[in-house]
Amino acid sequence: MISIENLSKTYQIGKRHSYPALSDVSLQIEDGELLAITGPSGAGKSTLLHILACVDSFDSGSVKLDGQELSRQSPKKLAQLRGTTVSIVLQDFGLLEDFTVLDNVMLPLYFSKGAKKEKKARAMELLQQMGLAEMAKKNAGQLSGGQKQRVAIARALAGNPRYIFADEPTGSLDSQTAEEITQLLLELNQKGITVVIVTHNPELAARCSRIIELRDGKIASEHNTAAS
Amino acid sequence: MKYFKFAYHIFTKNTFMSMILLLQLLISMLLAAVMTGITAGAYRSVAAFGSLAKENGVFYSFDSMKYDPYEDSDGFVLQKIEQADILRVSVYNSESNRKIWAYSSEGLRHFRPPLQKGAWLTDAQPENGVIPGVLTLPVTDADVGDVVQFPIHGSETILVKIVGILKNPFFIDFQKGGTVGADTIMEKSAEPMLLVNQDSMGDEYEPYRFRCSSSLVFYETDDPDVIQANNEALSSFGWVTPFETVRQRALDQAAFVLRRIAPFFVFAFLVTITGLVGCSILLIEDHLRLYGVLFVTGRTWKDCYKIIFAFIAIFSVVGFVVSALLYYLLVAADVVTAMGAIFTPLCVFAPLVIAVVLFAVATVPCALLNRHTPVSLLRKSEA
Repeated sequence: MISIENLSKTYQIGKRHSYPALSDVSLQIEDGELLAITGPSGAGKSTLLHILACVDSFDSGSVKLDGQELSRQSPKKLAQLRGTTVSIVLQDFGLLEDFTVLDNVMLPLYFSKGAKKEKKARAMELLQQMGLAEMAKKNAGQLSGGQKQRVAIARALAGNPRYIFADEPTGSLDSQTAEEITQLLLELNQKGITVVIVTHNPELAARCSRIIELRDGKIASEHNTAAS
Repeated sequence: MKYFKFAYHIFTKNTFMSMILLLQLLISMLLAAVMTGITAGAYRSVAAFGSLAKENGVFYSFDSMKYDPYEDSDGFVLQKIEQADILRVSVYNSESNRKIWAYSSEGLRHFRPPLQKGAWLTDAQPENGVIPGVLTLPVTDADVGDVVQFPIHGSETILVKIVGILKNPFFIDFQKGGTVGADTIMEKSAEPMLLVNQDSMGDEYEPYRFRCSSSLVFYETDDPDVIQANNEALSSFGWVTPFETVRQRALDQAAFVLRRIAPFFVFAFLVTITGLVGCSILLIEDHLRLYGVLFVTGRTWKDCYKIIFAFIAIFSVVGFVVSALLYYLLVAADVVTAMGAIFTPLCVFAPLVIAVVLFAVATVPCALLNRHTPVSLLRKSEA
């Protein structure tokens, strides 16, 4: 479970100006939940997602991940969380285009313990699940948008995460491919993974169990959906 | 080890840029090694000659025109003047074909040729502007104690007092900067000649300082083999100078080499090191997105720094080993020895300094990492 209390984050712009990205946000995310975060541009959606994914820090408040207060964790511990417990999927996929598909999926496993053979097998298994096993040796740059996002999801699953945070996962995709990726995320949620999706797409949001709308860094509304 | 493996992975992903960087690194390391080798070679001789100048004696080498105290140690013989007759050694030792090469000024203090009468030049003092002289052969119209006119320039003369007469030598007077033909030598040997100390011609009388045109004395002999050996030895005489002059020449030569060659090397070195610094920063900056991806997939910034340094370490090690090997081969093939370069431990030290510079340069991209948030790094386009 993720527990957020009075979370605030301010970005400094130059020496004199600051921008409050999040102001006093409080919410709870249950295990196995499929949550959508919506809102206009600049509402603080991505900022919230990045904080939850342990990629960004916050200025005040409390964020507890399975009871662990993130602000009190060392950089090493946070990195460990990023590689195992939580994963992030990005709008522009976040792949290394000069690396092969297999290398990209193995990236979270590269520095972990274990034999290379086992890591490779794990990566191939994930690619198999994504239907991309035959693309393993190709450079990631050669793939289509939908394929790249599948690879990004495969990489996100490499560390057996319990939480996946997806920032506009279908934003760069056509409708058909977007539907495929949406289905994929829904399937992952059905397997017990908590999925939090930042999206502008109301149809995607409607398929989640709960929608939280952010405006100007604050929670404007929160409601369960028919899908819940 | 994993960081090195990953760094190598990056190295092979961007082969063209990596090769450019490696080439610049090799060139700068090689230039540094060559510059160090040239400087070391130039001043090594100076140091050797400087220490030899304190010796007391006359120095022979097997090659009078080219001598390196480090390379030709077997062909270099210090003959103490007071221990042996230097001329007889040089004349009779025709088998080893030794040639007089230089003398120490200190040694000349002890030089005393056999005299049939009177005293040697260094035992006499000028009196009332009249300088001492020694005859090579007895003459009928002058004896020890007489003052004679000694020609110096054209019709210009000075007064010389005869203080001694050599004991049956034939005298060779060879000039600085050239050899004297054997025929000329043999012709001169029959003539009586008046020896004076060249420095006594100046304002300050220096009885111990003999210039290149100072004289060496040979014993007369009828032995044809000895005569032949004399001719061979004498005809090969060239430069014979005080060691202080040799040392100064070596110093001048070293300074000349450095003045002529150093600017080129320094310029080329600065160009390559600038390119090296620029390329390494660019190469690492091109991978900022990579470090962003590594961060979001479970690495810390510290891990990224380690990868950057491992990346630089791979270049440094490869560059260092290859440049050291190349330099050694260049020295062995006499390619750089023509410029006076030698192979010393200092030549290994110079490329190491560049490797250190490269590591220092690597801190710049590390600082760049700190200025970005991980997500902003992900938005950077991949190299």
